Amino acid sequence: MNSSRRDFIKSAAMAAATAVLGGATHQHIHAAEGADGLLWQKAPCRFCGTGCGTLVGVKEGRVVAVQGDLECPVNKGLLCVKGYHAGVALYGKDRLKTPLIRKRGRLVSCGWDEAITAIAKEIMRNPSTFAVYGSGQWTVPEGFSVMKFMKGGLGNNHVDPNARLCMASAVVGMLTTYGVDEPSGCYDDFDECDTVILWGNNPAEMHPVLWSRIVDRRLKGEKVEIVDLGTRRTRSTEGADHYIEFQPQGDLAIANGICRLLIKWNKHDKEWIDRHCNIRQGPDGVGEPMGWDEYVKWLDTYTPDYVEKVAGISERQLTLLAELFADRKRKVLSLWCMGMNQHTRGTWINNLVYNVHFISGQFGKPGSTAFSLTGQPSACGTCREVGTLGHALPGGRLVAKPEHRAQCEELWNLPADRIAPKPGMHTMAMFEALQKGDLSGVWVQVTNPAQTIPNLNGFTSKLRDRFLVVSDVYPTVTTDLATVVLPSAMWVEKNGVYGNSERRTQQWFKMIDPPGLARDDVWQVIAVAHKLYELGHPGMKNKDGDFLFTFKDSNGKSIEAWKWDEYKKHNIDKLLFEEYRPFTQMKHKDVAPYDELVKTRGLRWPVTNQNGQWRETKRRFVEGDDPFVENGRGIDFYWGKQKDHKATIWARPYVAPPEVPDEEYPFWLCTGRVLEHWHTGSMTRRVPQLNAAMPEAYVELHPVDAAKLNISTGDLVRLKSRRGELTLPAWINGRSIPQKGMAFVPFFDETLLINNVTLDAYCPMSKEPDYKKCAVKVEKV
Amino acid sequence: MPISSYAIRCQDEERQAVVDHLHTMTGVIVGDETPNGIPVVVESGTTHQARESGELLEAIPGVESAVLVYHNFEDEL
Repeated sequence: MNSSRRDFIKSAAMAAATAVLGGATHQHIHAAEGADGLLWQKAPCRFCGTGCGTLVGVKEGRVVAVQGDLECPVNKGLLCVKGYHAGVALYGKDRLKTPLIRKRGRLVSCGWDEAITAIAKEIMRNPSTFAVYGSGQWTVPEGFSVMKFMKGGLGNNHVDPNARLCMASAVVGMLTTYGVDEPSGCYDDFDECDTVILWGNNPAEMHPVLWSRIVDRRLKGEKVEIVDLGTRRTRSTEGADHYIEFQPQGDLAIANGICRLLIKWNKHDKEWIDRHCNIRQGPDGVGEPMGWDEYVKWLDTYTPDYVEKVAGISERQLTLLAELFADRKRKVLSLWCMGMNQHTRGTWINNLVYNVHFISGQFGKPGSTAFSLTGQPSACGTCREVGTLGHALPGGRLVAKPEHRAQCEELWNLPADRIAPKPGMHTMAMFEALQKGDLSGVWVQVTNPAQTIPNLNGFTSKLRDRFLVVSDVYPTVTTDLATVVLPSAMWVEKNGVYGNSERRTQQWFKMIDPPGLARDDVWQVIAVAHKLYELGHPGMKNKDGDFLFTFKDSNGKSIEAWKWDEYKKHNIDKLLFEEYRPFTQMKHKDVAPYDELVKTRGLRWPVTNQNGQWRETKRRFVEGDDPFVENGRGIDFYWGKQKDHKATIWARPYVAPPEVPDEEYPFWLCTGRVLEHWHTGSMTRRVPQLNAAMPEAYVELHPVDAAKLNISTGDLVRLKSRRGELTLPAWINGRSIPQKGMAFVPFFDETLLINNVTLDAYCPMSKEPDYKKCAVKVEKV
Repeated sequence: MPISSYAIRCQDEERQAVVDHLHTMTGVIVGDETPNGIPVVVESGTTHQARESGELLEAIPGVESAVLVYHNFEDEL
């Protein structure tokens, strides 16, 4: 780069920073050439579920720069360290560039036709025992095409995503609380709240841009009080006003204890409760009605003494929490993510946090809401909204409901009864079936289960013996086991649509070509489907006898999308998205037309056309904002399970975790993520800056425990559970400090697989595993 | 040579000290201050130095946050 070009770039960089700080008008960029000579286009970040807008700078067919998108209301020009390196993540030296097929025990290069034919022939042999395991990183069209292929084509419902491992409890929590998935509130509530309760949540590292959206308000002189309710001190604790440390699983008792105090002090909002809530009891999603007096009596168990006994927090701390909710002048925002969802009672604790907000009336008002954060860029848009789950069909429909199957068959132009009535397997059942041989094969897309499934030895050790297809961008511990590896296009190498945590649907266009022979996942699915069509699989035809994935161009001419050269000429994403859009209307999850998404930095559904204008919805169920709320209701839970337009307050008790520390295994083990790496590190470990910043996994211990065991930073420590063991270096007084009696290990490092140690117990309702607590022994090596 | 820019936020009473500190740092260009913070551009020799520069900005006494805004790495590819 010569000096004048450097000067240009420095000017552009300075302008961007000045604009973020409100000092200048930022240029509006729609595929525009910037002063730095780059072609800039919008795309949401491909890492976490925040949905930050990025502007991606392309030069000579390569991504060479990334900046935060000032026009995107999610991040207003800011990005975290991962977002800035999303471009670098495209260029790791070991990108998968050619299909691979296992021959005589080794993966060898092959052509696309050989790979696609091998997969199709295997599916022809075993159509009912073949599964797809997908991802919250699937784009909306990717997930939708898999659903059509599997459920509408093969008549096989064995589709589930890795999102089962991270947000299934939030989904079932919402379904059981107000009858429909996805949050009521939005990120605007982060700007308007004055009190934030972090329920086992560490947004400073996991959602840093949203965290800065909250804490930067303090620099403007606004008062925002933050309570970190956690099991270990983290970077978020540093920004909190109060740190309340609780015993693992104690959150169930804390939430009930808050509700008890609110009612005891007569600080509950009885009018709000009577108008908008019913009360039920029972362990499942159906339950039985419960009267108010009965509920109040039931709560009597959760005295401060009892809460202290099982949760380890003092009466003063419980009182502080209850007082914050009791103060009607406050606007309280609850945030949570994996800390609450990865929980053997994940659904219950989700229900209980809603209880606290309902009983205090802290719901449905700007700044007052309960908000579940997500960890993947389209866990909401794809897994939850498209419904890439074993039991689901697109748009909030259920496989088990005949009318829902019939609606999908109609929308997909399929013959009646094509979609099978039996729900498919959830993730843990799927991997158990693969282990036992009840499933013959699985196509893994955009995820890395050989690193992330809990108790790996018990669930993935036989994967090598099955027909394992893996579509990915880099080699992983899962591709190592594969029969066929398909090299995929990544992020801006393809068109895409994501849906973030606040119901915002975000679109981007392909900007560069994928490397080598890598191709879009959507194309891969269509190509396998067409090969099955050629082989005579009856499910690959629609009601008219045409190929399942029949597309027409604007002139009405058929597009042979299974041919890569043809696929590339068209925006198949747009055609799939417009095919999907009518599915979203039944449950009032109406997404915007594709062309409207092109014009915007995303729109929050339900998006409805009012007087010729497409209008998004900030807060669901709130009159004046949500167009589906009946006039005069104020708040309208229109999908309430009891069909009474009310949400449910659930009586869910505290129960102990299935495995607790004992004499032999005296420590808790908690696992999680770090700022620098995204999930299994398959992309961020290829970014030199990020990998240098966090090169390997470690175990954190409380300094008192470390001293007792004579362990110092850098010492090797063996963690052993009833399922497996792992030796890794210690980090004492490092970035975070777990409570006494707890070890914390991040899971990003494929060379130090902590999931050999974790427990495979899961929430019986959401089927989401608990990665946050099992018993281990800790030994200095 | 990666070129990055950062939005630096600090309390008003710390601002002058932060600006003075920034002017002592190699490869750092300090932009016009805004009421909300200080924009800076960092030119680094390598990607590793770029990462370290970000950490150094965060570590300046009085800095509340130093957030990356722009990152050009065309010489690194």
